[in-house]
Amino acid sequence: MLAKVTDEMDPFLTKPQVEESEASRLSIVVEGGIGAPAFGRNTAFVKLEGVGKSFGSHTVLHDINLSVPAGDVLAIIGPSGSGKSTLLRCINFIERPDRGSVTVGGITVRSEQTDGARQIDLLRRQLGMVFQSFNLFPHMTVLRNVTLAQERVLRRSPAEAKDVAMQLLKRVGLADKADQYPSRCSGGQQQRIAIARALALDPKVMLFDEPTSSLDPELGLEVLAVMRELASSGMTMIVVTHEMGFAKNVSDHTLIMADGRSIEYGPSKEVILNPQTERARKFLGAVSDR
Amino acid sequence: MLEEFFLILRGASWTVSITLLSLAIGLLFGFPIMLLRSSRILPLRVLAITVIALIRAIPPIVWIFIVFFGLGTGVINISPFAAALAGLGVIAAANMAEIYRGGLISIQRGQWEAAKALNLKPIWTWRDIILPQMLRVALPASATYAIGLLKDSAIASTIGVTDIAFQGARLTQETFEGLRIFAMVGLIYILLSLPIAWLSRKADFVLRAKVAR
Amino acid sequence: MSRLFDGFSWQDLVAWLPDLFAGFLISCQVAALSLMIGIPIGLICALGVQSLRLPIRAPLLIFVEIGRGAPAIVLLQFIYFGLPHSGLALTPYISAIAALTWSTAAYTSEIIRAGLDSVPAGQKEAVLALGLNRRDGLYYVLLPQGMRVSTPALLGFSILVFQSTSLCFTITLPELISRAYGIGSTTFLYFPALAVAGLFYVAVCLPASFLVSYLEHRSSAETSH
Repeated sequence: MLAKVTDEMDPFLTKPQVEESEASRLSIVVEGGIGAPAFGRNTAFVKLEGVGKSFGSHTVLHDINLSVPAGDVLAIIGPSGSGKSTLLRCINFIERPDRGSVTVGGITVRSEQTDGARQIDLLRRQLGMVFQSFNLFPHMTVLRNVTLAQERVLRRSPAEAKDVAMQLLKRVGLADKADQYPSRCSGGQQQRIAIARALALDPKVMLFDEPTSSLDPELGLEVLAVMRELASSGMTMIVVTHEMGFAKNVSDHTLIMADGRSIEYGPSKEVILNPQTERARKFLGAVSDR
Repeated sequence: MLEEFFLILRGASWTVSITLLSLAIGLLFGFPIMLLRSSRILPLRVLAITVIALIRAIPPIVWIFIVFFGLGTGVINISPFAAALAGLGVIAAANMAEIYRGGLISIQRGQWEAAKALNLKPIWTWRDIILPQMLRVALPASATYAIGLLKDSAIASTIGVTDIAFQGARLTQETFEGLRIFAMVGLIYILLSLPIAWLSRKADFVLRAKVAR
Repeated sequence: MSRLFDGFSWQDLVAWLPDLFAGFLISCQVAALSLMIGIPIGLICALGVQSLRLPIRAPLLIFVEIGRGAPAIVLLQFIYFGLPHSGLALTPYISAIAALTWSTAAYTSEIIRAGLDSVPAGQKEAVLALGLNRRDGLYYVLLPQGMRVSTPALLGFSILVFQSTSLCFTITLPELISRAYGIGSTTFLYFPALAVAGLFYVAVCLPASFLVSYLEHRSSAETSH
């Protein structure tokens, strides 16, 4: 049974339905949607090959291979210390991988390249990141947080940057907070602002590093709602999370990691409800027993 | 050049003794001043705060001049060495009081309360609980201050103490090789500060092991 | 105690004030200029000593280590008495500013470095993730936060710089202490003259030190909410 692909160019359509074949390791590019560029079929938008990372003698990532198609929402789950965050941070080179290569949208950077600054910059231009601790700039207003990088990196005019910023703040439901300082906003609000700040640069892929782990369950819901809306608008997303609900119901694929290795990968519902490996079963069992 | 180096080093004994002795005065007298500063009796506390602030507001060279020229030319006959010691010692005491205090307030309330609950007499509380922790925190700042004192000791050369700076200045007048000589003088002071920094790191390491948090 | 003030009258004080005040002004000028030039250089050093390129890092490290490690009085003598022997003769005024600027740059580079280090790591990561270049990241995000942390320490150091203008007495700068000493040597009223000079310092340094305490108190209160 081959995958059926709908080929819509309307970016605000909900995500096209894709049926996967039995071999869950096959990834097919879906075109259309905000997260997808005009790309050839059968090419992954984000690809990690042989990525490894060690801190001193401690190896945190062992030979990770990953392909994420455009428009896909990938959830990365696993026990603490499994290397999930490190993996995510290797994608935009906030951590430098010691081995392997990272490809985003056709730009490849290998770990051995010592002068890849230009390449890394091009890589990062396509990626937006949302952090567990929000990392908003505390000495600027919310609006300035969202406009600064637009003006300095994309060279947009202040007026244009402000327009885009207000649109995005409205989209995440915080237009009224534009002239306030981040410290006056709740954690959930700060995280939504952080999402707006990342989206303002028109990234092709959004990376989320445990976005709700610092939040009360209530505040986490607001953020998850924004992420759900983002996913349905077609954005390519890679989300490291503990939120099983998100992984099961919103993400298309799930990667389970443990001890620095990828243990299982496949369509989310299959992986979470019917894990194939012992290790994955143990982790998911522990989660569902809480 | 080596000959000049050793000529300058003749002043080393003066430099080191001024530094160590004023440090000793500071370490010793700083403690009672710190106690006054932390006293519960308001007038005493205000007095201590004022005195400490006054001492620290006036530059070391001015204090030394006040002692040597101000007191020395009328009231008492005081040698340059003693005047330098008096001036630097008083300043050291004020600064050490503040450093001790910094160490004291870093100790959590809980420590005092635990001691009270255990019914420890004040002197044992101080000796076994408060002082070790206080000194551990105060040590790095004290080492930094000691190095500062080493540099301040050079001021003594202005009233005639034949320390390293004095020897350097005199040698310059004789040989006119100012650049090289003052460079050497500076280097010697830097070299002298190294053992203090090293000792402080060593001591910090030892104390950390003893006072694990 | 009163023997110290023998022969001293209020008329003397009034007669001395213009002279002492002129010296005080010179002390203020030297301190102000040294700070205004020295702190920006300190900022450059703070950034430069972390450079990965040795030709930049090494000279700056030497500059900072000597500026911090050598007594200020030696730096002063080095520039005023030492340099002329190699051809460069500077006035006491310029020498004083040069030496104190050197000292200021060296100490403040460490203060600013500590301030920058205290900025949470996440801020730097956000800068990287957004694609801001190194200069923009420093200018818009890291320095504003870092300098805010450094401000009490910088202010405290400024007080010390003002105090160290008294050392310029040894290079014949006609600042406050040299005036007081001059008055003392002609009238033999050393103690009163020096005491009054001391009061000038107290007038500036005492309020300033209370301001520093207040700022330190406030910034530690902010971080512990």
